[in-house]
Amino acid sequence: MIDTNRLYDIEVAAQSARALADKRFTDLGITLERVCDMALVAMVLTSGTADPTPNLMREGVRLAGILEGSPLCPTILFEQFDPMVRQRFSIAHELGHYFLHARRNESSVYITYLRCDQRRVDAEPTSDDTEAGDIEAEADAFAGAFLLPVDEVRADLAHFGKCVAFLAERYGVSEATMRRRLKALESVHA
Amino acid sequence: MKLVHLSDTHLGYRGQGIEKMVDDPWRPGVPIRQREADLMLGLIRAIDRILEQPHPDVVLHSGNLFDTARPTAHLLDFAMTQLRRLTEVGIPVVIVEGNHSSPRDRSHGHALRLLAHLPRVQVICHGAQRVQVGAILLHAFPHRALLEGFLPDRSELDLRCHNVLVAHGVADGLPFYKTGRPAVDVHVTNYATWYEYIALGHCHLFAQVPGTTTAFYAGATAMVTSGDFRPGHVFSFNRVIFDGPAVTVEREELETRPMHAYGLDDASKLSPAEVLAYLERQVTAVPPHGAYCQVVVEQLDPLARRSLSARAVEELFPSAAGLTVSLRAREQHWDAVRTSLLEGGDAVARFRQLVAQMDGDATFRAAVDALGTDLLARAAAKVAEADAATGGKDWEVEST
Repeated sequence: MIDTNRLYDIEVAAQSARALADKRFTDLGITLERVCDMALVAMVLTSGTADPTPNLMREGVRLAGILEGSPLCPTILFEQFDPMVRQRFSIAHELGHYFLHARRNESSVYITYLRCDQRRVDAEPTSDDTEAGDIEAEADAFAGAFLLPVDEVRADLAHFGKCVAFLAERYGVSEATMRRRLKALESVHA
Repeated sequence: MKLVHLSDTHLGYRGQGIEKMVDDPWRPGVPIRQREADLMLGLIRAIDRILEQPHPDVVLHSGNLFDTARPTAHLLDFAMTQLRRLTEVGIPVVIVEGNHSSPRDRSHGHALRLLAHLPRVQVICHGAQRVQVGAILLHAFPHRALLEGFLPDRSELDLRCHNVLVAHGVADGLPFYKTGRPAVDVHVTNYATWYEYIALGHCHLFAQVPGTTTAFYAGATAMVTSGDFRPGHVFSFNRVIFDGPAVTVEREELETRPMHAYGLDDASKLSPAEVLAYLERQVTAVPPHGAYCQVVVEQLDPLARRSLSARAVEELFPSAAGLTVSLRAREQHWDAVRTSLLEGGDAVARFRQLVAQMDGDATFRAAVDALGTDLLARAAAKVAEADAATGGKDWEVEST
């Protein structure tokens, strides 16, 4: 479990990133929609690239996503053969690492690439995730907050009633992601 | 060398639930269900796409071309016409039997064999078989062969060729790949490094088998069963390019009828009117026009469930291409009924109050009322009789 104060910071970071994306999209004459192209969002936010890659792997481990390269122009890679909802979450997860964990001040230093194991990204919390500072759990929390903004989700819950399948489709996430986010909104953001 | 991997076209499947009737794309004026038409269009669109691009060296269908082992004459005609579009431009086609295409009574013969009368079409529906097309060597395991225990054999590989395993079954027995009708488990990860590509059929959604880089389900070319319902999913086929030792797999997405989910996960505190109001708002935000729609309302109060007609829900979706509606009442435990009878103090009065809330006409309610009141009176008399005999000690009723 992530500490409540840290969770609040992550929520604020995700909201700020979303607002920044919204502003930059507006400047480009594009509307940031609920089911937006996350690869494009990542490129606009990081000034880097976001590319699908088949059989994404490092050191024999299959990965859902990678953040690597220069902090000024990072590269996000995500698994080409994953379902679309999974790819969107993986990109948002890597953005979580970018905003929360990458040391962006050391511009001459490469980001040690953050490899996100298929089994860990968007996973049900387990006892392994309970330690403080678990960056994968934090990046998941960021991705949830980025893709499912608290105010919009609450407004939709009031307007449409609680239907995980309907809301998951509306926001372009998996039902498991939506379920976890609703649980987080009930327990932490009450 | 290029290979196209198609699968699970399930021609002839008609779907369940409420579906629009449309013109058969092949026989204008003949009405068929939307699902059946979409499955035919799925194959037409896939072949259109194959022919639009540089032609592949072989088109491979990894099972369940038809939904049944006994396709109609019309479907056979349709399938042969579509296959001829490929063979007439010189593209060979290899079709492998799936579990739906396998006749249970083998004395009837195999309808798929009729397709093998077309030039350049090979059908594999009995034992395991090797088929060579240029430098591509297909090691095909139809449903029947897997059922009879045939297994891939490393000594059958020809290392001068691009070896491709073709099988119709459940990869590694994983539940995700199972469908309504059983198929044989294929232990794909055991063979993943032997072959340059493993073409699987059975699962209707595109998928790469975990733990492998080479094993893929192409998925269906259109939605088959309700198990394939995934809002946002796009059906597809695979294009596989062998360039020396490098193998590239590309997903070729097809025009797909949208799928939309609606409903309420917990309607326990809602009246039928409130349920309909929420659904109406959902329909306004995500119009069901031309889409396959699923409505699931859970945990309805039993009385509300009785009052909420499926017809009223269906009327919110007049433009849907297909609709399934599931309205589920929460389980009514006897304990809850007993508590509810006891909490009013007087069992007869409470019973009559419950009967008054029931659906049905006044005559029916009066009959239930009379029957229940009589039974409760007789039960009370029995209790009084027993109380007189035992002093009431064995007949205390717990009211909590």
